[in-house]
Amino acid sequence: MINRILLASVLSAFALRGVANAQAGSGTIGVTATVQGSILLTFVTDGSGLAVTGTTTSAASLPFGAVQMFGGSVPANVTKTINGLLSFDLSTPFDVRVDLANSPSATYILTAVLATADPVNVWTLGGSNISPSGTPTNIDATGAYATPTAYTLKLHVPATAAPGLISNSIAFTATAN
Amino acid sequence: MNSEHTALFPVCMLMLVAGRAAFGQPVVAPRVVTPMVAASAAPTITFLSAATGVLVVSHGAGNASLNLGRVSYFNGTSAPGESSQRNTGSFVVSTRFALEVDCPGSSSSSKVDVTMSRLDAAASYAIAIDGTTVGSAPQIFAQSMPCGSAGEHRLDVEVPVSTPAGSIGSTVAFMAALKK
Repeated sequence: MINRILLASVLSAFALRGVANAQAGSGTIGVTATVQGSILLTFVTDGSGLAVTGTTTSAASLPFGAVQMFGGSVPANVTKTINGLLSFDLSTPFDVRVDLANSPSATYILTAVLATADPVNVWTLGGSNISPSGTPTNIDATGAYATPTAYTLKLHVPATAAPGLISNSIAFTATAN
Repeated sequence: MNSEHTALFPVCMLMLVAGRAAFGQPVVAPRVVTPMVAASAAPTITFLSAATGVLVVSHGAGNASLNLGRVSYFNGTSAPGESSQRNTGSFVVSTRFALEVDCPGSSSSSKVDVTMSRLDAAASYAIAIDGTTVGSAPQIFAQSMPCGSAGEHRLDVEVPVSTPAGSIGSTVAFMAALKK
């Protein structure tokens, strides 16, 4: 009888110890988010082009400086072409880089539109006339991501144009295919 | 947890039977049993919003959720109480939350060890708490955490740019074990 009591006590002690050590509470927290695909367009100075102010950002500028049809000088990597006595052209390449995240798209469409219509000068981008504003022009239908692509901006200035500041903006849009 | 609670009752009854058989004396069982029951109460975990974190929504005892909202690599985050950092090939969304542990029936000096583990197996993104990546195996979250205390913690979700757009969701489980 004593043995049984001892056995029961020992068993009870072990059982209680096991239960005591297993005292645990649990909780769970759910973490949710909605991942959205995103795209980034940046301008980069081309190795053969005019230095882009704000290179590697999405808001950059190309400062041609003071130029004239005859004589004078142009900044490094800007080409001036005189078209007889009628006009002159200024051109320089610059790079556009488009990066993509969380999207299976392989290529993108690049469009450009001049912010303000220019009835005097002719703005050409990658061979396309973008002078009329309001309508985006397709510059590239299958652009490659994550690599700078060079486009040449050419400004055609007639000899009849009045001297003064020429300033405009070109809005670029990259859309994933 | 339920199974642990039902196992305790038969053990206590066994002790009472043994005591009655051995000494043939009136049994004052309640005085013996009651403290054991009180001591066996399991710790409880409560999730709370941190002052600088996203809203933590409670779904009942021990269960809560937090929604980081819309997140993207180039545009960051949209919800207040979180931030994002862009890395090469991934971005990290960070926020804070608070975790409180209570130990009903335990002394005020009681402490718990808390472990954490991730219940889902999604490998396309990583979750880290206080800098430690949460895996499927239980890991130390807090050691000797005083019962009745709460602490703020940092939650990071790292999303590679290769992760397809859409909803992501994971569950992190915490286990608080009372220290003897």
